[in-house]
Amino acid sequence: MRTDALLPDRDLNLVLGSREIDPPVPGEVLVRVAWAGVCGSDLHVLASGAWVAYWPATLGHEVAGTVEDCPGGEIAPGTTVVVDSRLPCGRCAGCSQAPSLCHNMTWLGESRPGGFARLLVVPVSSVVACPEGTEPAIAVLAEPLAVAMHAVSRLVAPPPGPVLVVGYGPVGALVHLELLRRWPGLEVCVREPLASRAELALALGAKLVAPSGLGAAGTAAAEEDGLPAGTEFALVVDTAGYPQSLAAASRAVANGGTVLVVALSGQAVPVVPSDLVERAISIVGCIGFDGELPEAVGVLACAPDRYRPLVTEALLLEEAPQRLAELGRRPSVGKVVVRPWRD
Amino acid sequence: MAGLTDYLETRVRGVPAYRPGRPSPGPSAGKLSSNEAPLGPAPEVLAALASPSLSVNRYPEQAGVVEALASRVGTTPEHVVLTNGSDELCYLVANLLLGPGRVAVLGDPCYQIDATASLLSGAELRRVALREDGRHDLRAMARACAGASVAWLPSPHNPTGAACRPEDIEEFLEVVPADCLVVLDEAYRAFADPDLQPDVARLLARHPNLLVQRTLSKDWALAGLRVGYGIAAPELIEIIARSRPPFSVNAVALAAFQAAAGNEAWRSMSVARVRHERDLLQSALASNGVVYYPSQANFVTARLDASALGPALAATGTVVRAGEDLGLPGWVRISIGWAPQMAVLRGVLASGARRRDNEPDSNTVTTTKGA
Repeated sequence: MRTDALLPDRDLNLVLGSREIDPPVPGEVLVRVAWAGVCGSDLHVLASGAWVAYWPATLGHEVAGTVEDCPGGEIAPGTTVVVDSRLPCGRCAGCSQAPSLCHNMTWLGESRPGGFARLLVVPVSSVVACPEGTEPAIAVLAEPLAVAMHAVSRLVAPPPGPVLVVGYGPVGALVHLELLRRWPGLEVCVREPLASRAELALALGAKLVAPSGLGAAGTAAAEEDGLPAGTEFALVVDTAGYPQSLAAASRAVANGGTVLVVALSGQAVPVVPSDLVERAISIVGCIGFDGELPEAVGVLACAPDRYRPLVTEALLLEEAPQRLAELGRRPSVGKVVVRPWRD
Repeated sequence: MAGLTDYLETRVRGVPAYRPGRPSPGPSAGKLSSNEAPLGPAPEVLAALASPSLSVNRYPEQAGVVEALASRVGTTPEHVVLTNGSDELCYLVANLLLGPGRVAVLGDPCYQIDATASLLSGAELRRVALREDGRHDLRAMARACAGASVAWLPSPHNPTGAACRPEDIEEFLEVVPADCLVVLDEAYRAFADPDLQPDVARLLARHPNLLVQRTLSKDWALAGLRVGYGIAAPELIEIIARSRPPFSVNAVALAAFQAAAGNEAWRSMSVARVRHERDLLQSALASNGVVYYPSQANFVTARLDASALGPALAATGTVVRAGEDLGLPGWVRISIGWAPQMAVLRGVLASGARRRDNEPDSNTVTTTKGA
C-alpha cells in the first residue's frame, strides 16, 4: 500500500510525495496518523542527515492517530493511539536494565518509516490506547511529555528550593508543567532569550530570569527578575543545549544542587572536578523514557487544556516543507505539529 | 391568556430569536461559531474558581474590579459600570434612551443584540449599509443620526471584523448631535492592530455623548461568566447603574477577573496566537480565491456557502457560523481557534478549492532544501 509522506532524500531535499509500505501482519498495527510532532532531533536530521538508516526517510516519532487495521485483533480499529518512538534491541545489557539504556537504541523515523506520513505500520506493542474522547492533537504531546516525566523522575527527591529551567522550547515547557504537576507549590524560574517563548513561560506561571540575572555560585543576583537577591536554585534543568549551556547551568546551581541535562549537545564542556566536589553538585543525564508513555497519555487526557497552549503551530502536509526548512532560524513558540495527509 | 399572548406577540414582532453558535460534534476545540477564546482563561482563573476562599454567601463586591478596569483605561471608577456581559448594557441603553417614537442608528448588517434591544424598546431602526470593505460608512451614519437617540457602533464590527480608523471615529463624534448617544462597542478591540485602537480616555474627555462598551468574553476568555462594562461620563454611568439590577455581575465572575488580571502574559499570548492564526486563515482564503472581509477581530467572515461547506467541516468536528444568522446570507463567520483546528479548517478549504478547480491530487509539490 502507498501513503502520503514527507520524504527527505540523501541530499536533504525535503520532498512531499508518497512511499510504499508493507501491510500489517499479525502482531502489527496500521495507524492512520492524525498529527505528528516536530522534534528538535527531526530538525537535526534534516540539517545533517545524522542517524538515518534508509533514504528517502520518513521522519516523525511523536505520533497520534487512529488504528485502521490490526490483523491480530489486539486493538480495535478506530481506537485513538499514540506511538512509542523507541526501538530498543531488547538483547543488550542496557535493555536488561531498562529500554532507555539500550546500547543499540534506534528511533522511529530513523531506522524505519515514521509519522510524517498518512499511514504507519508499527508493532502492536508500540502503541498506547488513549481514553475515549482524547483529542489526537493533544495526545501527540505524549511522547515529549514522557521524556519530560522521565527526566523529572531522575531526581531522587523533590527540589528543596527554586528551580531554574534553561531554555523554554517544548521540552522546557513540558518539564516546567511536569515539575508543577508533581510539586504544585514549586517556584520555577526560566531563562529564555526568545520573547514569545518567555511570554509562554510567564503565562504558565514561571518567573523569568534574564541572562544577566544569574550571580556566581548558584545565586540569582538581580532583583529586576522578581527574585530576591541571593535566590539559590536547588535544581537547574538544561533543556537548551546551546554551546556552554551545561557550564552555565553548573554555575547557576546552588551548592548541593542538581543539574539535570535533558538537551542534546555535541559541544565539549570543560568540567572542573573541584567545582563538583567542593560545591557537591550532581550532574544527571537522561534519555528518552521507560514506562512513562501510558502515564503521559493519561495526564494529557485528564487535563487537555493545561497542555493546549504548548501546541502553537499546526501545519498541513503541503505547508510542512517550507516551514520545517526555516524552523532552525525562525523557531516556533512551542510544539509544531504536522497533519501529514491531504483531504 | 389569548389576550396576553397577543400583546406579547406584538411586543416581540420583528425581533429575531437569538441563535447561539452551535457546539462542535467532537471536542470543544472544533467550535468555531461563537468567537470564544480557544485557549481558555489563565490557570489562575481556574484556581480561583476552585478556591475555598471564594465566598458565595455574600453579595458580590464590585469596587475592586471597577477600580482595576478604570485604571486599565486610564480613567477613574466613576466612569465605569459593570454589566452582566456587554449585552446587558445594550438592553440598559435601549431601556433608558429608546422607545416608541425614538430612533436607533445601526450598520447593516449589525450586531444582532443592538437591533434586538432597540426593537424590544419599540424604537425605529435606521440601518446604514456598510462599506464594501465591511467597515461602517461613518459619514452616512452621521447623517442618519439627525433626530436619533442612539447610534450603535461596534468597532471592530461584528459580523465583518472590520475596524473604523480612530480618526474617522473622532470625526464622526464631532458631527453626531450631542443628544444622540454613540455606543462604541469594543468587544474585539484587543485583536485589532494598535493603530486601530482608539484612545478612548481622550475621546471620552471630549465627547460626553460617548459610551464605550467592552466585554471580558473575548481576550479575557470569560464568556461563560458574563462580564461586560461600560465607560462613559460619570453622570451617564450613574444613571445606567441606577437602572441596572444591583448585583447583575456575580461574585464568581468578579473573582475570575481578578485572577485573570494577575496574568497579563496569558492574555497577551492568547491574543498573539489569535492574530497569527487569523493571518494564516486570511492567506488561505486568498490563495483559494475566497472573498473575505479583512478582519481586526477574532473571526474572519468569508463568502462561502455554509450548506456546501458544513458537511465537510462537520466530518472534521468543526462548526462555523452561517451568515444567515448574522444578516449576511451567503457568507460564513469563522471564529479563530486553536492552531490544529485551524489547520484542519485550512485543509477543508484547500480540498474544496481543489474539487472546485478539478485539480488532480498530484504527489510531488514542493522541493525545499532541508533546514
